[in-house]
Amino acid sequence: MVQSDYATFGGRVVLKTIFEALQERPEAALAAVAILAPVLLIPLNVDPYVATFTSAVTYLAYCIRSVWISRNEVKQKETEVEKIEAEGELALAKLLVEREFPKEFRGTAVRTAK
Amino acid sequence: MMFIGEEEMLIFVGFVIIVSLLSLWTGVTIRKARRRKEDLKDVAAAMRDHYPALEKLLKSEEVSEPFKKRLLDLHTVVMNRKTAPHMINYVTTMKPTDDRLRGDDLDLDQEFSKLSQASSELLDSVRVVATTGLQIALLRWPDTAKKARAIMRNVGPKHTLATRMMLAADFDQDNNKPLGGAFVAA
Repeated sequence: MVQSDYATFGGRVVLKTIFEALQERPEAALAAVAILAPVLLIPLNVDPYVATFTSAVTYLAYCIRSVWISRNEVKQKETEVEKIEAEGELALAKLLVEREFPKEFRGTAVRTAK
Repeated sequence: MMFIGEEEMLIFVGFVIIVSLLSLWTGVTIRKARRRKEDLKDVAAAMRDHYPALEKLLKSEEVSEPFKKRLLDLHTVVMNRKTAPHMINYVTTMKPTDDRLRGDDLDLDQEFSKLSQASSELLDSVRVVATTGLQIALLRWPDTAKKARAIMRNVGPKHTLATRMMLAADFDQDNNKPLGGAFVAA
């Protein structure tokens, strides 16, 4: 393997690692990108406040959006569980009344269904 | 980096700290949410099995009235946020040789043999009610979900024992503690 082959191989490994990181932990990979952006921009005579502030705000927006999406997904799942529970309790309460179970049998399930 | 001055360096260091903290917060929050979502997915699946199995047992003529009442009590306890964690603590401290597994007024051995003679489907339904009940109690609420994985690792594969444990626990729902007899002595 000549030196350029090693460089190509190394480049591929780095790209693969970045790609995998973006899939597995997008917030960490994007944090690295956000840190690298001002490193490249400041030596190019871009105002340091502008370079860091823009990166920080973009990254903050991404973080807030990701957290909001995750919490929303949890809420959706909770609603789904509550719906299954409500349907199940209602069916159970109907069954207990239909079958004329004694009052002490009915109390808990009917109370939960309400 | 040799092109940048001291002030720029300070700004950059502050920026790196802020981004790192944000990354940590986002990572932790997203991972927690993902875990909770998985738990709720399992709870939904458990509930879909739990209710039909319970209804089947309550409709059956082969199941005795005291056993039906025990199943309904178990159901009520695991569905309640206040009682579920106490029930889990109580049940998971049992060992296979525990006296508490004998039960009290309800003879579980007799109930199980009666059910297995009548229909193996009924016995399976009892297992489904108890094990899904355990899953619901463990994963439905964040309070118990934390230790759920560790507990399920011990209880999961021995689901006959889990069934027995759940049904043997005659539980006082109002006071969050087990009822008399062998339960108090153990």
